[in-house]
Amino acid sequence: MTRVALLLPLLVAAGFGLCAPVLARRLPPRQATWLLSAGAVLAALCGLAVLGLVGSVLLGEQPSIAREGHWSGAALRARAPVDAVIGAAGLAAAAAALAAGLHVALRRGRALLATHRLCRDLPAAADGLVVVADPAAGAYALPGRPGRIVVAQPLLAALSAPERRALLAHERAHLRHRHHWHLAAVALAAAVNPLLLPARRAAGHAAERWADEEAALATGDRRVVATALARAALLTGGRPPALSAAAHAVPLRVAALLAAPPRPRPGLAGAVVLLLLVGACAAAVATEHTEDLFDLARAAAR
Amino acid sequence: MTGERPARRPAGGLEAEVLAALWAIGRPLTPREVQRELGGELAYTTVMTTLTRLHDKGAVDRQRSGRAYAYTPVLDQAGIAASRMREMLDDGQDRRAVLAHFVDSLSAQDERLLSELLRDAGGGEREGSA
Repeated sequence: MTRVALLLPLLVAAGFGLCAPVLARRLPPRQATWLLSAGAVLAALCGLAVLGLVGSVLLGEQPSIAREGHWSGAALRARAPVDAVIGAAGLAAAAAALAAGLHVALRRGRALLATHRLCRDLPAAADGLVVVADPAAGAYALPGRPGRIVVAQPLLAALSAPERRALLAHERAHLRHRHHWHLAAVALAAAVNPLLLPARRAAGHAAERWADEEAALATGDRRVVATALARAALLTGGRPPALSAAAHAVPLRVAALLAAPPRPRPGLAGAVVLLLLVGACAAAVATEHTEDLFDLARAAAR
Repeated sequence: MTGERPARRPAGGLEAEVLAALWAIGRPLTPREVQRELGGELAYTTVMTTLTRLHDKGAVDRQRSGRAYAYTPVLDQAGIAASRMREMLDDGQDRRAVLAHFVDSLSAQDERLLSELLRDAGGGEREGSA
């Protein structure tokens, strides 16, 4: 029973990672972005919790720690849910996950700090639109308070007025909905648990789709957003991938814009939420069982 | 699309749109020309007000052109934006990861696909583009 509870959160994380691309394609993009980022964080936390539990039992068996904690190491070992090798592996995995998470958190934090600083130094007129001469700059949203929209002049020259409106609305959507926090959260989760790597890529795609749909609403014309995307991609497409994760996403986004607006799929979303809850409940049960285990070991020491 | 259509230009988007038009055309434009470039959907006075506001904020320059002013976008002071941005982009994956790019790289097949789409949409190149 305890073993199942310990294993389930990891299986849930793997399952969530596997179905992440489907969620990004099928769900309305706003819902997909939220579900992918929040779900990945929850799955990562639950996975980390069970690795920590397995490791804590192993640590508790060590005589010096058992003495300090006033419980019986032998009693703990006799009832340990997994053997020592798995315990050691769990402990090592938990330590590696924490280190990887910390590393990514620091790097991402520094990068976001840098964009905020850069925003402060850039002109704030014109709703934060900053035009640069470099054609390789393409167009992107620079997170800050307030954020900036950076666009290459050659790109503006290649677009029609409605297409420019679509581009600006797209970048504004990124800033308004703070997509950089969603992406940071899912990157952190994927660093802690590599089973969630597909969710990181999928969340990136979902956030782009979300901004595309907002641009479609702002211009009132899905096709204009599609042609703006296509033109921008052809103009800046020669350079190496900025994010391997986002490569090849443009044709998918264009296809989605040429199709009807996405319909809500409460069944699919509900099933995934259920999956995540199963993982969370299993982690809670495993925590409970491990506490009981330590209580018994404490009683055995008296 | 069903239901109520949201306002076509959310508050605050106007200045960016007008400035983007000036940058796109790349020569001084009168308010009338800006209005035409934006598809004539905006009232003349709206365009006029927006240009004045941009001028007050130092985002555009203007000089007399007959009875009206002609407006040009102001180049980024000393290229701060350009060089700082360049630095940022060259500074590894994580910085790139926090920038939400409009589009990313394409395969040869993707390029063909998108070119066809634009041909179908009427004209591979926007008229009047460089």
